[in-house]
Amino acid sequence: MAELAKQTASAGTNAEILIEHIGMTYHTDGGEDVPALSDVNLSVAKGEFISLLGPSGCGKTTLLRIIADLLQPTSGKIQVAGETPHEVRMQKKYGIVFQSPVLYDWRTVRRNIRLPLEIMKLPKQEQEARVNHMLELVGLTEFGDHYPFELSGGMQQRVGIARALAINPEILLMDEPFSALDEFTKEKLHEDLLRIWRKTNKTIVFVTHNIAESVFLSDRVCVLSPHPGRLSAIVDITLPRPRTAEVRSLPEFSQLVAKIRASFEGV
Amino acid sequence: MSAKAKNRATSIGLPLAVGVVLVLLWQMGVLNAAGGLTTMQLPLPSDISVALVEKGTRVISDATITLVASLAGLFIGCGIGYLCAVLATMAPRWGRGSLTVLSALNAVPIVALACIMNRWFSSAMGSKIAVVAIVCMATMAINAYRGLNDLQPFARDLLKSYAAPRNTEFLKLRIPNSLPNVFTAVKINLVNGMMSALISEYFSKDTVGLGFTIKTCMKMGNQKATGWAYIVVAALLSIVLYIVVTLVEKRVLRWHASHR
Repeated sequence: MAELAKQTASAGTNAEILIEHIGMTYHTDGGEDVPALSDVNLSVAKGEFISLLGPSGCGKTTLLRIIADLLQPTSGKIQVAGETPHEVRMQKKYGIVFQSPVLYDWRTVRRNIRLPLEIMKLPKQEQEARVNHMLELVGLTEFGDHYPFELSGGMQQRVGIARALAINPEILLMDEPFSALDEFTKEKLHEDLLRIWRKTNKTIVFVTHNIAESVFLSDRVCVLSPHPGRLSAIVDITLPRPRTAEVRSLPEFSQLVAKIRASFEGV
Repeated sequence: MSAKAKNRATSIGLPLAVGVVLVLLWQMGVLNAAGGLTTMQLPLPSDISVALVEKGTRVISDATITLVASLAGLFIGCGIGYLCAVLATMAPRWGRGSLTVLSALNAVPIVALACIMNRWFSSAMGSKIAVVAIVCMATMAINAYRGLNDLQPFARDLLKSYAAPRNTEFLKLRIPNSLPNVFTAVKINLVNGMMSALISEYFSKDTVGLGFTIKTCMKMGNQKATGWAYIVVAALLSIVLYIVVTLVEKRVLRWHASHR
């Protein structure tokens, strides 16, 4: 299934996200031009889990924000399901999970997840049903009436994921969502995320600077290099699915990690 | 939990005990002796209590007038201040200027304000309310502006990703985010506002209110205890209002760091 999706993606037709010659240059106050991304080409298939991997300054977050229509590229073209990112955002088809959970402190878990549904002006009953479903999906049913400060970091980020999925988006964009969590919580959330992905069949673009994380999660890992940010390699992750903790101890896993690490040498 | 209760008991009990001891010493004449003050200069608590009971109805009517003036001024001043903060947030380019003007206004001494407002307003109540309102505006505007704009990273991006309209940003993000700052400003203004109302009554045309009576009694030799009785009432009024606002704050801001 994933294999088939990949083939169509590489053929360039029916790609969910099609990025062509995207470039981004920031203009500083001093009148200097700082290139953040140059000539990025990428096509992501529907239902694919893809990672944007690279050190800080490689433009991976910039690329994600361009897809999300939170930033406008200075050159190139980008299409999402045949439309512009702006059109897709206006239709509320993006779910974004940020580096921090970005929960509103004054809202309980339940009401935080409900926030996008309120903005969409869904009927109250529908909102309630979706929130309950999301709480169940991320395993926080008992914590619905807690305030964010009463939750651990891992639980807060689960709420962030639940909120992103609540609007039933076409595409889930995740910007280093687990980078602030400890190793144990992180590994647990990796498995949870894959389980949720399997259930919901979303296209996921996942930004990270953690090689093992990108290998464990993705169908493909896009390696970005800095100065200027550019796509330097795309690595197919051929590990079997569904992936559980044991995958991390497979020799193939270590080989893939080593291969990707090697692609950073001399950068 | 019990440690918390114990903590609370000491935080309330200790100051209370100190207060009681101080009043007892005062009653026994220790304070007067220590300061070399006659009971004309510093009446004893018993004399003050007697004056308070004797002038009971007058005290209540005077206190009501001052209370109404300071609460109305507080309400209007905080309202205008908050509105300025909202405008400054919506249109930063010229909105920020209004914050600067309010801050400058705040630097005008209350004494001067009271005299000016007496000229501007025909009613004494009106001029008092105006003084309190002006004193309250800047504190609210500056605090609220901070609350409306100190948003956590990505909080706006989140709304943008849902294509939320601008008024949603205010209603669901900026305004709730400003509530802790609003309560801070109200608590500061409550005490300042009460003081401004009292001071402006010193210069008022009216012959009523706590401030006016304190000033008048302090000038008369045989009314010192009454003057002190009014001072006690003014202080109690401020304290009670402050406690009420603190209790409301605790309920409304259950989610905030300061109440965890």
